[in-house]
Parts: sequence; C-alpha cells; structure tokens
Amino acid sequence: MLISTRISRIAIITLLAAFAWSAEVRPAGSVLWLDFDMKNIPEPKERATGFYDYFFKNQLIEETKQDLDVARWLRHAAGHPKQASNVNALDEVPDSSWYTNRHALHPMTIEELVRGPNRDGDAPDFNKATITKAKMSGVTPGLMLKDERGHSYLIKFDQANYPNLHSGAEVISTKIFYAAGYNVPENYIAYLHPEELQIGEKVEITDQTGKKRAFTKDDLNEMLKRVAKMLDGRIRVMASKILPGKAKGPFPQIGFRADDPNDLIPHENRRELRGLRVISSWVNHWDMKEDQGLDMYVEEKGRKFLRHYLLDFGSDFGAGDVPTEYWHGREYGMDLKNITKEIVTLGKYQSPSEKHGVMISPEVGMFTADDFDAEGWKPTYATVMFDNMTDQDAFWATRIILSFSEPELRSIVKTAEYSNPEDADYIVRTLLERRRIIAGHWLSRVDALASFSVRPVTEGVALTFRDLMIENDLAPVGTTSYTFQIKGGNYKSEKRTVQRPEIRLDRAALGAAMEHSGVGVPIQLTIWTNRGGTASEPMKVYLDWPSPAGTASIVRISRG
Amino acid sequence: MFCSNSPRAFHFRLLRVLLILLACIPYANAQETTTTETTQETEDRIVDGRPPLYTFKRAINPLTWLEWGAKPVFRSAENGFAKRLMERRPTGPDNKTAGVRFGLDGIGAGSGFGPSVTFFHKDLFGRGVEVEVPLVYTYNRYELYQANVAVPVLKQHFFDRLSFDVVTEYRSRARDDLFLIGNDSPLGVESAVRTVTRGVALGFSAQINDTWRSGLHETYRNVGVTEPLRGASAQERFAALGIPGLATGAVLRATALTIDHDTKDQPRMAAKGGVEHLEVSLNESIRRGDFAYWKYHFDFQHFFPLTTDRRTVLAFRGLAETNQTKGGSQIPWFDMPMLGSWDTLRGFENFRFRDKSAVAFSAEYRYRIWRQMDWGFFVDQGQVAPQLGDFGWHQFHTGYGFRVFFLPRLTFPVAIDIAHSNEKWRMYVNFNADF
Repeated sequence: MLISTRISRIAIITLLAAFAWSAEVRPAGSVLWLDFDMKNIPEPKERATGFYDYFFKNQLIEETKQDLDVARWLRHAAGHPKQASNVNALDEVPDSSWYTNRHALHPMTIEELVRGPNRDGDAPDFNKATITKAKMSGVTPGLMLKDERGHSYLIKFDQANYPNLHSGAEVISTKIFYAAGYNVPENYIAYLHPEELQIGEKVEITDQTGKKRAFTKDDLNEMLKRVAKMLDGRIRVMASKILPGKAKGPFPQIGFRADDPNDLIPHENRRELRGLRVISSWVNHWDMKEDQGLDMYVEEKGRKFLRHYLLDFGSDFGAGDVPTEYWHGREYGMDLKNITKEIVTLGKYQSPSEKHGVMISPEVGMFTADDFDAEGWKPTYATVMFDNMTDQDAFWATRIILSFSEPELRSIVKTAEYSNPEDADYIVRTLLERRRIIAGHWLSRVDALASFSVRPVTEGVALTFRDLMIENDLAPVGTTSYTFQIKGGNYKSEKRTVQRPEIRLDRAALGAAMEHSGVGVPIQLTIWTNRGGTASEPMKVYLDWPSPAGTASIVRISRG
Repeated sequence: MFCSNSPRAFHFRLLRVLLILLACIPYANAQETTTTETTQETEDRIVDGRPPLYTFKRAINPLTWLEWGAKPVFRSAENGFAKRLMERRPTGPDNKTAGVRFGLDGIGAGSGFGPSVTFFHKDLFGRGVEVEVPLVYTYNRYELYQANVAVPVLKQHFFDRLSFDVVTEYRSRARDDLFLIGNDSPLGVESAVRTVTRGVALGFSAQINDTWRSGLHETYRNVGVTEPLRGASAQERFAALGIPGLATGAVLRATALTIDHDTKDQPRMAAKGGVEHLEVSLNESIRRGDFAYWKYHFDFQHFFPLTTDRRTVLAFRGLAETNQTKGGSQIPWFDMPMLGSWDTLRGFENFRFRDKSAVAFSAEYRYRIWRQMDWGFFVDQGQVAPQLGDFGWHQFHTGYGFRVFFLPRLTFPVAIDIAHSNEKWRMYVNFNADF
C-alpha cells in the first residue's frame, strides 16, 4: 500500500511537471555569470605603495598572521580550507572588473589569440614619434613615446647582450594572460629608427648627481648604447600602450580598497587571483609583487569604476633584462623554510638560491621544464592570495591552461618574433611540458571532470562531461570508470558504473529523487571517478529536473 | 519482485506509460544545456557585501599595528628623507682618488657602533701620498679621531713600496669594563673605567710583496684614566689594590716591529687563506709611573673551504701574547692582553679576563644558508696568566654559540653572534666583521 501510494505520487508529480515543462521553455538556471562590480563610484585616490612597505607587510606581517591563524590550520587539517568567495554555482568565476571568461569557456580563434589585448591592429609606427619622458637611471633605460596618432607608449628595450629576451617574454605572456581572462595592457613588438625620434619639449632626466636637466640627443645616444640593435640599425622595442583611464596605484594583494565601494571580496579570496599561481607557474611569472598590478579608473558605458590590471611580464619564462636567475620560481626571495633547512642540515641542503641554471639561449634565458615542480613553484615574493589557493582554485586554473592547443601556443609564441625559430620551438615545447606536469599534479588533486552538459535522451537525461586526465593522457582509458548515484532527500539510487564520460539517468530514478527532495529542490548526482582501482573524492552535480528548458539543467557543481 | 498481476504492477505500468508520454513532450523544443552558458546580464553581485567584521578583525591584530607603525619608516626609506640620504651616498669610493666615505663602525669591544666618516686622498700632491682621516662616534659615546699619512719613499726596489707613516689619534673609550687581574677574577667585582688616549706614531712600513708587509714605528701615547661616563668607577672600587696605571694612567714611548702576512681571498667573509700578525715592542714610560716591558703578540686567522664553491668553510683564529717586564718595572693594566670580547672569547663580559699573558683560540664551521646570509657554529677557548709557565690545560674558559652573517654587500658583512658560557648568554652585533 505504501509503495503504491508513493508510485501514485510520483506519477502525479511527473504529470504536473510534464505540463509545466511543455508550457514554457526557459534558459538554464540562474547561474551568475557577471559579478557586476562596475557601478559608478567616486574617483578614488591614487594608492601609494613602496617596495619596503610591501615587503614588510606581505612577506613578514601577513605571512606571520597566516602562520599564527589557528582556525586556518584547523581548516586545512580537516581538509576544508576556505574556498574562494567569487565562484558561481557552477564553480566558475563570473566576469567582473578583474576578470573576463575568455579562451577556456569561449574558445578564441587563433587570430583572436594572436591579437590578444591589442586593439590598434599592427604594431605602432614610431616614425617621427616624439619622446615625452625618459628614464636614464636603473638597470633598464626607458622612454615614453607619442606616435603620430597621439597614442602614448611606454618603451622598453632589450639589453645589448640579450636581444629579444625581455620583449619576447613580455609579448607572449601578455597574450597568454589575456586569453586566460585577465586585464593586461596592449603590448606590441615595434621597431625604432633612433635618428627619427624627436625629443619633446620639457623632457627632463635626473642625472647622477640627482639634479634634473633637459634630455638631449646625446643622452638618447648614450641610453641606446646599452640596448640591442638590429643589423640595419633599427631597434626592436616592447611598446606598452598606456592604459585607458587614470592610474590609481596597484591593488592590494590582501583585503580590499577602502575607497572602492565595488570591491566587496577580499582579494586573497578571489579565485582568479588565487588560481593565478598555477598560470604564473606555467609561464614562470615569478615577479608578483604589488607593483605588478594596477587599478585604472575607467569610464565605460557611462559608468566610472576601477578596472584591475596585471602588468610587467618581461621577467617571465627565463627572461628579464638579463636571464632570470635559477632560483626565481623555485623559492621565495627570503625563503625562511629553506634557510631553516640549510641551518639544520649544517649546509648539506642546498637551496635553489645557491644553484645555477643553464642558459638555453640569449633569447630564451633560463626557462626549463627539467626540474619544474607544479606544487613547489613559488613566486619571488610570497603572497597570501597564492597561499590561499585550494585544489579547486588550482583545478580551475589548470583547465584554463589546458584550453590552449599546441597550434594556438605556437601562434602566440610566433608573435615574439624570435630571430631563431629553434628558440620559439623550445618555448612551445617547454610550455607544453610544464603544462603536462601542472595538469598531472593539480588534476589528480580533484575529480578532473569538467564541461558538464545535459541533453535529453529516450530514457531520460544524459549527462556528458570531459575527463581531463584522460584527454591529456594522464590516466589510461581502460582502467577509468565513473560510478554515480542519484540522491534526493532521503532517496538514494543504486550506485552504477559507466566506462565512458556519459551518464544516462532514467526518469524513474530522477522522479524518485525529485519526489523525495521536493519540488524546486535540485536532484543531486554524485560521481566518483575510479582510476586503477582507486575512487576519487565525490563530486556533486545538481540538476534541476524537469527543467523548463526542455530537459534537465545543471544548477550547481560542487567539487571536493 | 513484483507479480505481473498485482496492483503494484498496475501502478508501474501506469507510470511507465506516463514516462513515455513525458519523454515525448520535450523533444520538439529541447536543447542541450551546458555549464558555460552566459546569458544573464544583470547588476547582481556574487556576494551581498564585505565579509562581516573582516576589517575589524584585521584591525585588532597586533601585527597590523606593527605594520601601521612601520609604514611611515618604510615610506620614508622609499620616498622621503632616508632615500635622498642614501642616494647621496657616494658609490664605489675605492675607485676614487679622493672623497668621503660614510659608514657604520665601532671602536673595538664594548664600543657599540655609530656613524663613521672617512676623508681620504690616495694621491695627494700627485706624489702618491695617502691620507686617511677616519672619524667615528658611537652610540655608547666612544670616539675615535685619527689622521694617517703615508708618504712613499721607495717603489719597485727591494720592496713593492716603502712608505714613511705618520699617525695621530684621539681615542676616548667612554666605559670599558674592568675586573680584577687574573684568570679567576670574580664576576661580581665588575666596574668600569674611561680611558682617553692621545697618540702619535712615526715610522716606516714596507709592502714587501702581495702578501707580506712589515713595519717599524716609534710611538708616543698619553693614556689618561678617568671615571666612566656611567657605572661604578673602577678607580674608586679598586683604589686599594694598586692595579698598575689605574690611578695614574701613563705616558708611554714604544718601539714596535710588526710583520703581517695576508693570504685571504677577500678582506671580509674570507673562505680561503689567512692572516698572521706578529708584533714585538719595547714599551717604556716617560711620565706617570714606572713602566717598562717587552710585548710579544701573535694572532692569526685561517680559512679552509670544504667545498669547491667555498660555501662551506672551516675557520680558525687564535692569539698569544705575553708581556715581560724589564728591570722590575710594571705593565699598565690597559696594555695587558684581555679576553672576553667579540674577537677573543665570546660568551663572557667584555674585558672579562686580563693579565700579562693570554692565549685564545676559536674554531668555526660556517656555511651559506641564503644568497645574502651565512650561518656558523663556533667554540672559543682562552685563558690569561701572569707568566707563560702559568698556563694550564684545565684553566681554559669556554664560550660557544652560533652566528649569522647578513651580507647586503660582500664587503659589508653584518655579523650577529649569540654566545653562551658558564657565566652568561651574550649577543654581539658587528659591522664590517673581518672574521
């Protein structure tokens, strides 16, 4: 009697659902894809920052706070670290003033990838450009040029002994970070005829005595003595177009800007900043101090707000003004753990800072995959936002870097215009190898299933997905299977196992689950991936069924 | 299992029919839904507001207060006065013929450290005359004002260079500890004394070759002994003990022969080679006391790299000194060798042991722990005695500990030593440490 009542109830609910289903078709559930942090705000002040200040705060104070945070330790010990605050129900990062979903979710064409953030088409033409600012001091000289169209560019040079090193790295990384979804400046490879440059009025430099004086042609010639020149006398430069809007200083890596009402999520809890660690490890973007970020007060669609940029990728890969030292990416600038290891082992342990890398070539620098450690990769300046990265954040970022195909990467690397094709090939091969190492590590930390979709089939609903471990040859197809179970309220279906990344859910089970969970409450599908006899942690896909869209729709995904 | 003709089976059949009907309905307008659809464009936020108490929790953390307190200092270092000061500092003075060097220095054990300004000229009058005028004033109010002039006499003959030297100095040691004379002097009798030395030295020094150097100098010293700038006065406390020169000071003339041998691979933070220094001098009083004695002093440092890259080094240093009175005269207390300082015996009070003769030895295992940091473990041993024959194997005082070198520049190591002995723990901070 009990059973028949239950079955009747299912039948009635199913009928009602069928009527509702056929009556109206709506798009898939209300998943937030735009975190609208672009509301009009008053103009913030420029945020001042300095290296010592930053170093003391981020490297010492904040890292110590983390080390003394008992609650954090307990959460980690229990396997439940604090998850990112800005992920939507599908475990994705919605678009915002920080981030725009690009290649990973909406595949870009090769032309789009090659163009990257650049909106001005071809490289800027600096014939008869005017120097508006000059910097003689420091390791790298710099110029600000205004072209005939009135656009201003910051010009960076390659050092004489390392042609194409700095500029090549900057251009490739810029395009990769852009495709990954970050806001980056328009960086171009361009060519100068020094004799055609004009010096603008009121251009001053500070000489060695600290006094300011007018910048002269002799100063320009002196400056250009140190930079790489081409055989025809031209100088190849990296031209970074000045960002639109007003610069308001770098964004803090911890907390938020008090003067930005749109800024609601502590930056160390933003997934795109946490996951940046994985993408940075891929391209060895080790220089992640605060100065490498910049907030611009922009006006878009009549609204004025802060847009957040990443800057300066010239030290990525193995590059820099001179080839990057071996330890960058392998330990912090001041790595207390390694120092302690050295002390305790009486010097037997040699930290990366005491080792020397091998320079691949003057154009490439010291970029290798030989001893790359996906988890052990470290930026030179420790940052809490990277420390906070969870396996879920890493998985998100790993999916992004896996979205680049080899031809796409080759096309991007080609834009660096290396003089030696073997150098371009080496960069691509190293990127692919480092990506394989990253994927092997981070995908294995969570259930590496992604790109879920549902479609109706005769018996009910088919849930298909991609198994990134198999797609990237990191797990054998033959020994991988997927066990699933439907849950709803106190209902649990029998566990079933399939061999392919497609799960077919029959209506009876769905109906039973829906009856127990109640109308409007999603049905939970739990999936365990079995690889070589070991089952993964369960991941849960929540389905709205029957959905007004004409089939089931995925309303939530939970990993780990 | 259900029977085919049971009411349950009927219900199941009914359900199956409904499900088939149901399955047919959506096909006309169904579509695949994926996890990447981005159709919505609203002004919704993913969070309602900032996390509750986030700012408050950060603000009440004492480490945040530390950060706030330090911020103006760092801002100044980056943008303000301190930066301008640093930018003015001349760079590469060693390559200049003349100029001013600014630095941070001390004046021996217990002096603390303070700013040093050194005026120099390496080729005065275009004749190779070298002039150096170091001026140091430390936070403990120790003072040193010196003028050194070296006039070349011979070049490229028997010696690489023979020069005539003139050295004048004013040295005030504001508060040096003084214990009783002897290897067993009790710790509880600590008191202090101030010495003010005015001196001049004339003589020749010969740079024999790259490693050997010798000198013969006649010196005149007027050593005044007064009350310390703070603390109990040794002159009052030990008045009845008749310590030579404590009440009177001394005016001394000395003839000193020195021989130096330097094979260190670099002046600071050496990893290979060593230095030896031998000095023999005859000292006699001119006024204020009856002092006459021969001084024999030898000290050395040696460094042995344990790895080819010289990141691990064994270092040794030692000293031996004895003063032999001449004709029944005395030796003033301030010229007796002492132990208990950063460069003799660590872990004890400064000037802890003092007598006519002394030996000391240090061994250190030093290794690189970071690009700009070295670490070391050391043990020091030493003893003092009235005569050479009074030394004994069981009379050594031992100090041990560890040290860390910060190397903002290889030529400017900052050493912090933490040492322990049976008497106490001590910390030493040293700028320009040469061992």
